[in-house]
Amino acid sequence: MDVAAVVQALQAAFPDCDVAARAVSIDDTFVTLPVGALRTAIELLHERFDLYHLSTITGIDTGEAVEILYHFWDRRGLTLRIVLPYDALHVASVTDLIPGAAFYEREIIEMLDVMVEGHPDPRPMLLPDDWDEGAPLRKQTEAV
Amino acid sequence: MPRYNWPLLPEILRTLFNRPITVQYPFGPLEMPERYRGRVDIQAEKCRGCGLCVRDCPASALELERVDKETFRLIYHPDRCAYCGQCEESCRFDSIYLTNDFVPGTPHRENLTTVLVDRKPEEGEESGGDDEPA
Amino acid sequence: MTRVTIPIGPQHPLLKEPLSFLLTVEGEEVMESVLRLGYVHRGIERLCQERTYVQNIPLIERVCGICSHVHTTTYCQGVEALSGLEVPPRGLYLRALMCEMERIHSHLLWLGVLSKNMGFDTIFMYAWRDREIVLDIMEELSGGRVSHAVNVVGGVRIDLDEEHARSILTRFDVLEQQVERALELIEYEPTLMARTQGVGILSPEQVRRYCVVGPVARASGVDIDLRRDLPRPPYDRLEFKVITHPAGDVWARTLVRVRETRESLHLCRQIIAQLPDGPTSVTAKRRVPEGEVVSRSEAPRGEVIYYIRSDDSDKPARLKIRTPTMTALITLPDQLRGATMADVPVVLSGVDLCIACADR
Repeated sequence: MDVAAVVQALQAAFPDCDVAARAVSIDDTFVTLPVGALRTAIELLHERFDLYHLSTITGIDTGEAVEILYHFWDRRGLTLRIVLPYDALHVASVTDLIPGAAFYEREIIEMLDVMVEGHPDPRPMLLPDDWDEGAPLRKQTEAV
Repeated sequence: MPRYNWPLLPEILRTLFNRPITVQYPFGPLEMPERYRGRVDIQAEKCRGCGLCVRDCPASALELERVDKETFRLIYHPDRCAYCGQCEESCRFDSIYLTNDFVPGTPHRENLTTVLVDRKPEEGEESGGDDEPA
Repeated sequence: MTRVTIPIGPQHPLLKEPLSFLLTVEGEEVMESVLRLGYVHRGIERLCQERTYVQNIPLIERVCGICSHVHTTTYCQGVEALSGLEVPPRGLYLRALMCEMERIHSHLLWLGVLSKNMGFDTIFMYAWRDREIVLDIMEELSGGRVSHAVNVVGGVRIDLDEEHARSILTRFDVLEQQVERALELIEYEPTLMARTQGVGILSPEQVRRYCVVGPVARASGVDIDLRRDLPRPPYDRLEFKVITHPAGDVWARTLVRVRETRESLHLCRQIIAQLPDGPTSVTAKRRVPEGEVVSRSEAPRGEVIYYIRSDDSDKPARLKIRTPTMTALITLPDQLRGATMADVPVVLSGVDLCIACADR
């Protein structure tokens, strides 16, 4: 994968948003995108660069916002970062574009209380059925 | 072409006259390899009570009760221990180490707790080493 | 015909770990299946945030029993990248040696489990007997058969001397003969081929869509292997073949895994022959500077990815683990659709599931 070409294409596709790219160890590049640009960006990656392998989706509660990272891989790594403010914790599902994302999105739904709109099966996956102590990876939930 | 009998036939002939390889523990000896990570032990005179092992233990199996530099006790809980060897790795004074004794089970959990170091100031002799209760 | 729902698991679902399947069958044919996970969820990602980087190593090792060394390798690789440490070459070679031996151990274990679930107990006994050779070597090197505790941040804790290396190589010769025999069996035994060929087929298109990794993807003809695609030392100096097979069924997966075992033995020999001199580790500071890292590695089942974010303290701010079994689990409803009840054990065993890995 030609990372420079991908970053250039993403910056050209979203000219009025600040698409910043940063190299990260071990062999990855992080690109921050606006929330609404996610699905368009993934379609662009599929069609123009044949980048289809999604390694995983990470969700982090940084204390100021919730960041969702989509890690792609094709001989080099590429990660798309979406920042969600606490009062707007919803993101569009990408399961229809990448069916392999289904389990990863279920995990961020239950661990971070993020609403993933359009997910075909948003049941909790890992937590017990009677879990009522809050999303485990959010800052306000205390460790037992 | 159908050679499917052949992989198994030499195997069968080879193992037909073998003795059983079951180890007869506890009615026979059981030898552990030299680097086997077993019960934690200490060379008490080298211990300074610095607490690095306590800090790095992932299972909170080591406890340091410290009054001052000359008076402290290091207590070890084999039932919480994960036998990972991190204490041996972290110790800067080469005092705590892992033996290659595996810890057999016991019906009484409290009996397993061991005092590794019990240091008191220089009135008599400092008592070190472990008291191994039954 | 009426449809009947048959539960498989969560107690003893053909695996040694709990997993629940609800199969809807019509006669003998499986129509739909529903998968339920989470029976061994231990909350390791959250626990890791409460412990220091050093305390996390044994915790990470206990994510899985079969691929424990690869988990700590990927974690230590990430923390070393964050701290700017360079592991000495001898340490990297020893890490790779344990990784390859773990791959051999995992594939032999899986071969036994697949055969047992098919009813071919003979291969199960022979494969697990040969696995003992590798387990004994790992116990002598590291101190434990399953939990190795080899990695530290900055390198490895073990070392290998000449005499020990010679004894290991002799045992590898014995093991290689056994693996060759197992391979002959798989290639020519009619009952094994009849049960595994044409079952659980995944096309390359499905592999792409579901982002499958590991031997399951390679058995459908997709050529991915992180040891070659992410060439970190020592793999950039070692010669090995990436095994693929176009068929995409359980037989192809069996062939790929057993041939990979043979390749791993060659790799182990090369590693021992090329082992450089020098220290095995460098000291690492307990406090890790601020940053984030994505660390990937090739486990026996595929790509393991770790994302670590640090905030200039001695505890990680976030640790995300994705294990390769997750990618295989998502393909199971597709593989089971249209299979007969007798094929279900073969399909479930054919993807080599490690539920402890998937649930964390």
